[in-house]
Amino acid sequence: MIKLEKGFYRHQDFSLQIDLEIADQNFCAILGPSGAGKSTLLNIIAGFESLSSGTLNINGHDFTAAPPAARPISMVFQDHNVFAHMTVQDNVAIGIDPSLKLSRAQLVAVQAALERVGLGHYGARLPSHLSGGERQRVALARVLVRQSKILLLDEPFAALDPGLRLEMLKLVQDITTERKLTTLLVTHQPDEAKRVAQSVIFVDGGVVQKPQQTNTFFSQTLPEVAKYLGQSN
Amino acid sequence: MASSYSRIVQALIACTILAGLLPLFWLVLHSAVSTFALDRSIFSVLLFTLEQAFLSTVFSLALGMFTARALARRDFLGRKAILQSFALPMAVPAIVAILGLTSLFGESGIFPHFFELYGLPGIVLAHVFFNLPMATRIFFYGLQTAQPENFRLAAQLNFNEPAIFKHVEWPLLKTLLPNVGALIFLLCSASFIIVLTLGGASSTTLEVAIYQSLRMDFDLPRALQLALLQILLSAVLVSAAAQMIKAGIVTPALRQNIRRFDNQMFASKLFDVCLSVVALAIVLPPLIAVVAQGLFHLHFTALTMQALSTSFAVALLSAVVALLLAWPLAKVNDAPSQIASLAAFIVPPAVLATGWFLLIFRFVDNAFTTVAFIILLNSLMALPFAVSALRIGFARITRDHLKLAKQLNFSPWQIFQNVELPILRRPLAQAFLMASVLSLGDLTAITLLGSHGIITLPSLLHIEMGHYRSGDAAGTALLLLIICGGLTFVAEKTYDQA
Repeated sequence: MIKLEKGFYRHQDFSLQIDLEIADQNFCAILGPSGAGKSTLLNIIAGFESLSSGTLNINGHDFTAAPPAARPISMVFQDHNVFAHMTVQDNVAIGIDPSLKLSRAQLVAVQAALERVGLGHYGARLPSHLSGGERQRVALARVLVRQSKILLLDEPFAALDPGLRLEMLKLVQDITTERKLTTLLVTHQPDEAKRVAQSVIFVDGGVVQKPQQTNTFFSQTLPEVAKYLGQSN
Repeated sequence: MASSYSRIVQALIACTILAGLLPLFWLVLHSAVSTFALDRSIFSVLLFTLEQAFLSTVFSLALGMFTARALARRDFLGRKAILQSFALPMAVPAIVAILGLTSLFGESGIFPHFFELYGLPGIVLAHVFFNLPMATRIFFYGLQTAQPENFRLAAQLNFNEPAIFKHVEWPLLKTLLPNVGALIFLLCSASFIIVLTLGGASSTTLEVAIYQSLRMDFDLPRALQLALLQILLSAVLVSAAAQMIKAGIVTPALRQNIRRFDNQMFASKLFDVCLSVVALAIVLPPLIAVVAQGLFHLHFTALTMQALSTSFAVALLSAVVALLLAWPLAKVNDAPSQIASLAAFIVPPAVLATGWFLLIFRFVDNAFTTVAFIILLNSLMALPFAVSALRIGFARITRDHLKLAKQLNFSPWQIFQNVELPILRRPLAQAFLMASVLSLGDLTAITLLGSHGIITLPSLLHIEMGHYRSGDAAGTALLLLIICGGLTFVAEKTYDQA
């Protein structure tokens, strides 16, 4: 359970009010207009931004001031998820040990993760020899070996072609179910939310709304949501 | 799209270079072969040239790299001030820095026996004074080009300090290291005024030895041998440093800070603080010495005013000529243009002056030709910097701009007025200021070409120092520092807003 209580974030002119609970093993999409604070919400949960006031609680423990590494979280960004000078295998292995000293069992886990995301034969390659989609698969393989229970995705497939995007989305959905993860996906595509998310968090006007069932969200008629979805008038 | 303007400029530069080189080759062909057996003394000059350049480069790189890292990973009060003050040495005339160093470590300085100022140690210190801040700024800029995601990922994966260095910082520094190294080696191996004033009989570089055999000993064959060696060396170094020069030797913009999440261990904090202190201890004291001594000796005698106005006139004309040459070269930016812009790096000033001396000054030697060639040499020396600044501006003119101009059927003049000038206003101002600063502080051209009664501020300072008029010298040095520092500050502001 991720719980943000009376959360308030401020940076210069931008502010965000957050008060919500996200249940375990939930696939949750985060929607809202550009610049509303969708990524900020993920950064606060991951520890890359800090709340001005309020608390963040994960599974009953207070993480409000915890450094990023201490949180049970893996995050995948839109780009630059791999270190360019490292092989694919090392890019995954570094999720287990930053000094890259892995036991035999850990190396097996790395290979298994690569196979799970469809990169079983790519271990020795450098990221520059991969496509954009393949690089994001490397990031997902790293998520698998890290075994954190929360997965944050910040528009990870925005730059991919529609077909590939759906394929990657399916992979994330499967991983979420297999590993019993709680997944938060920031996206610009309401379709993606409809397809994979159990619930939707809508961010607009400096407020993060509480999660709603996906069906409920898309059948409602709140004016700001209708405007965002292009259904006004 | 090579315009005829760019071809004319390329041809002009080629002519001035050939005017410098041809007399040398002509003499080579018409001299006895025995003249060209390299003697032991020339070999030792070459060795010293390489030795001092190597040591200066190693110290500047090592200190600069880790100082840049310290500044990049820590945000503290005064960080921006340090980075800005590190732009200053590039503007400080060599002769002013030398005055600062001698008033600290010279015979009658504050710490007379602390340090051997004359000879290798002093030359290396002076070179590090100039190049350490430049290296620091380039490396700092390089570290700022890191992807912010890399630091977030590092924080999430619990990277320790060695891991961050190995996986994030080093890959960025590694690509810059050979280029910055080659650039510093190039600048140090061709450095003239510093070696001339701080060197001695056994510590002389090719550049200074050329000047001495030409102007002091009238030993033409020796000057030729040295000049040819110097050209060979600079050609190798320029091709090594070409990438750095192309990327922009102008002061890089200080991009907005990347948020970092490094674990702040006490030991690494201490290391960073010590490094910053060492770097500041090299850069600031000579400047402080100049300011502190000069404050009580600022004077504006008739001679000072005359030198001041001469300096400004020469600098202004040099900067205008430099821009006229730089504009088409930066715009076309093809291989011949790139080589032309580096002419004064490839064929160093002492060699050019030797050739011009043989070709022209032996026959026509009056104040007018001297000034004309001083301006020409100054503008050639400023050219790499001016082209570099303008090239960044031209890169901002996109294909869409040009398509639009074509669609609207603009004439070349209209393109200049409506597309190029608005976009290049700031780089142009910056290039102009930099070229002016370089010419204002330059003592090389006037020393190499002879003064003919012409006195600029740096040459006045040199004379005052030579006659041990330390009070007057202190005042003149401060005046130069204020002018060059002020113009650089304006150029920096221009760039930050660009």
